[in-house]
Amino acid sequence: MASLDEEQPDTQYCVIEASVVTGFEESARAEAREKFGTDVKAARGKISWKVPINRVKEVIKLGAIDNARVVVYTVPHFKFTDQYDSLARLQQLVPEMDWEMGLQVWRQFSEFPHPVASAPEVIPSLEDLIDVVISRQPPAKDKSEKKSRKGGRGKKKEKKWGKGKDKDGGKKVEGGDEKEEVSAQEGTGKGGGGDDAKDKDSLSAVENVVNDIVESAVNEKLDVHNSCTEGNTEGNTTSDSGDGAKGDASCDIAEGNKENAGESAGADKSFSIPSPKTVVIKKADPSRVEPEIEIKVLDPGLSVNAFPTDVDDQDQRDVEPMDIDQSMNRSVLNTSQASSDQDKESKKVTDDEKKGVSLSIATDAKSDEHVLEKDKDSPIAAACSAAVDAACEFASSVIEKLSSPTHSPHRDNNLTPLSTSPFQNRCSTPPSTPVRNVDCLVFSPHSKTGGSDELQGTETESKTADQSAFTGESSVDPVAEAGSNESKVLPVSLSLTSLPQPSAVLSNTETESGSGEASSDASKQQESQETSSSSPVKKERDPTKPSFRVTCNRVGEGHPFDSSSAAASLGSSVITYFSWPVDLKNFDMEILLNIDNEEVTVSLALTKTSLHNRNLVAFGPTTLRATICYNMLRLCRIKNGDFICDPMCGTSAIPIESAVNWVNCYHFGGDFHEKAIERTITNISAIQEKLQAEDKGTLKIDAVQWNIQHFPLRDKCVDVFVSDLPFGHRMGSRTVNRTLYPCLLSEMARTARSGARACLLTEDKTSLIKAIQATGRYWQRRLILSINIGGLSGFVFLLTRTAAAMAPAASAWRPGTEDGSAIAEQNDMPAQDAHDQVNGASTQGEVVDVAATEGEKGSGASAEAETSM
Amino acid sequence: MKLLTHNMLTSNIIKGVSNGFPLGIVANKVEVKDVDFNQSFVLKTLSKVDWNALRQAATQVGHGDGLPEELGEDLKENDDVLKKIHNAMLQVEVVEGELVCPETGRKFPISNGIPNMLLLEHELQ
Repeated sequence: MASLDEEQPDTQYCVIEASVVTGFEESARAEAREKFGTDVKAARGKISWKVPINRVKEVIKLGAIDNARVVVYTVPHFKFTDQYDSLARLQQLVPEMDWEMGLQVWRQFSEFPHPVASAPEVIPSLEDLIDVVISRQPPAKDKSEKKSRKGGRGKKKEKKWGKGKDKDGGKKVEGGDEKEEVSAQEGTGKGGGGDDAKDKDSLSAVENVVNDIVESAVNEKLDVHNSCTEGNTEGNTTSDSGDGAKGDASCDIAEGNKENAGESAGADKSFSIPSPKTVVIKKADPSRVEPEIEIKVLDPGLSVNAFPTDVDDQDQRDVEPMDIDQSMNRSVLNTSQASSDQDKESKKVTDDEKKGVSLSIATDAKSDEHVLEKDKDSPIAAACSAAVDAACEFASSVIEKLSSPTHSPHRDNNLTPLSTSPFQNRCSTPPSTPVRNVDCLVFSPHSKTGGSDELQGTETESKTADQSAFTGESSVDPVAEAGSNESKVLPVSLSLTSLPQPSAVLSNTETESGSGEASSDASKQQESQETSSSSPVKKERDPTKPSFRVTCNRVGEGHPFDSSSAAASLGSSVITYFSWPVDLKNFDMEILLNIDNEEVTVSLALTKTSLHNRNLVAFGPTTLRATICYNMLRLCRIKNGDFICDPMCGTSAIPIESAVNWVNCYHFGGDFHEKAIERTITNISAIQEKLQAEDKGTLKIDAVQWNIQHFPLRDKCVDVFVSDLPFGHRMGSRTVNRTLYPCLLSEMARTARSGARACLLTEDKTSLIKAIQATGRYWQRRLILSINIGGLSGFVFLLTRTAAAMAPAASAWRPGTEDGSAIAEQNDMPAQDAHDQVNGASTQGEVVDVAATEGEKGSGASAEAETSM
Repeated sequence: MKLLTHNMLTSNIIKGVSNGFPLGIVANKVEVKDVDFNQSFVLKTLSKVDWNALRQAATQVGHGDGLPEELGEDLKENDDVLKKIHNAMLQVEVVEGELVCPETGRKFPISNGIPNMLLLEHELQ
């Protein structure tokens, strides 16, 4: 990093990285350079520089930075290859990191009471560190799922999920589509052979399939789904399912679910549909009406495209599901009558396989049982789940959303695990299934295994219609009984939920992986308890070891993994290396993994929360971050004795930030809004009382309630204006801005001393530029910075006041008394700037353009004199 | 409201008021908050304020004792006077009271240390 000329050989240095509001990097860099006297590197959104370890505490006193962290490892070109290799190499970095230095710095900011060794007693081999964790659920899903559950159904959300799934699933599937398809077909064939209508047969078939296809199961599942969807649209060809279909299928799932809900009851109607379809359905119905129904539901979801295009009417809808079923059935059925069942079974098998693989535990038998049961009850659901892990998760989430309203208990259970699961889907997922089994038991007593709970639930629901036909395995959900449509949807959702749940469990066990949003605590606890065997870390927590989390920020393209997988993988490696416990919320240490295109940086956070909330106690809807305030103030090159005014101060964030940092200036602000004034009173009195309590001098800060359009300030009394103008979003409107901004600039011009600076922040660039042009005689534009304010692109304008005097008509400008007295005082004060007198002269005379230009020149010179002072 | 702020306020936003300065002060509650003394700040600030108005305001709130009528050249060496000026400018705060327009008598209430300078529509120019 930066090399220091004055670097002392005895001093230990560390590299500090600090996050900065995008757009203020240079400002922050200048501040760090000033305070540390070293070379500071600035990159987008951050600065980094070398700090002597004994001065590291001073870092967080910088006003311009949001968060600080100490870098323990950095590599400029990581050379990302494929997903597994990249993550594995990431995991092998752990022993290479400079833990000794990092921990030494971290200790200065942490209250963790116990000593932390910088290396484990027994250093695991590099191979042991490799335990790649791949999260297939996008983190956003959890939130959306929760929302959807709470809010009921939402097609939009579902669609979004579907898209996300497509992306995730697409990558995964691409590699092994052909294989998957083949395996799926094989599985279906096997399953079909044994399934006729009995669970046992299907179970055995499933097991066989599982044995045959363990690794490919996930992919197969995906393929199966795809094939099903395609089959619906195109016909029997299962092998036709393509990548594009996958994406569509995922998208379609949500819609399909809805449609299914409406159509599920319409199995009979579907008979009227094309003959082949009807035939299949009929076969399925007598033997297993419910399972078929379920299959149909899944299919429509998968083949969303087919639905919208093919049918709009209810009848058509009914047909569509039938079509889907048919396609599914056909592909599967080719071998046997219960092809649909077989397909379902095969899908289930794949799921089971997945589970079994991930679990790698003796639970396989249980899972198989579950699978069997599931197959019986809801083979389709199982198939769906198996089809695509990612897709399943997506679909499950969607389904859960849809189904959740009907089956509140299942949903709740599913939801909590889902929320936890998004980030971490480890191989250890199997435990999750057993856990869920308990939940499932409530709905369907028959289901023995937890993994089957979801499936069973779905099955049972779907079965409601065919309960009699199928064995009493599924206790049957009352809800499902109520509506065939609902039942269909529910089964699908259940099957889907089963997949996500395991992932959730996994996440619990491996909270380390870290994308920490996943956490309904209760669910985690339960899951962790249940899966305690698989996740010893969480349960047996050693209080002398710091709990940690890993947070990954990824920028750029070309990474074969997502950030949650990277965080999970690194976390897993850290656990293996240090045996530190994971705690996503109440962590002692936060390990930051920043991947910026090719650059990989690992650092330890030194600030638990961002520094931008300092000093304030009452926040308004648009309160500006203190770090932005600070950077804006810095731009104004404030000098001792300046009068700094925020004409639209809101909660007084800017005046307070400036009063705290520039103690030899006078700070005041105003606002016209009652609420803003209330918060200003609260904020100012809070900080003043705090200083009084510490026996320190209070701040030179004041506030007035005023209206900027009738600005009750005398002429020429302000040196610096810094203000966060109403953007026109949450505050004000753009229409108002068009008249407000010119008025503000005009009043500011009147009340500013010549040479005054103004730093204005707005998102409404157009209005402000127009206003500046309209007042161009008084304000000269020096700089425009584009900054990022919570996702909005804000613009910081730096203006300087020319020496042009305000025309009397432009304001209630009063010549005479004050000017005279002011000048008399100025003569007394040696510090007085010459330009004031220039101003006074020009104002006293009639304002002429020529005079104004002369004044400008004069002010420029005087401004330089000021800065040199 | 500190008296330094008062020194910048005017009521010339009222219709028909040409100068509106200095505003009269009716102080019902005054607090003195400790502010670190900085000689150069006081000196520089004095160059920016209307001294007569400041002295008058300090007298109105009961903290005008010892303030000189005129600011002389010897001010720099006179720390005692500067501290009194510092006190009047920065430490004295009117918490409750009102400001009075010298021309129309219009009253602006001060509550919680914040003067309300808002006007009604018909009062505006």
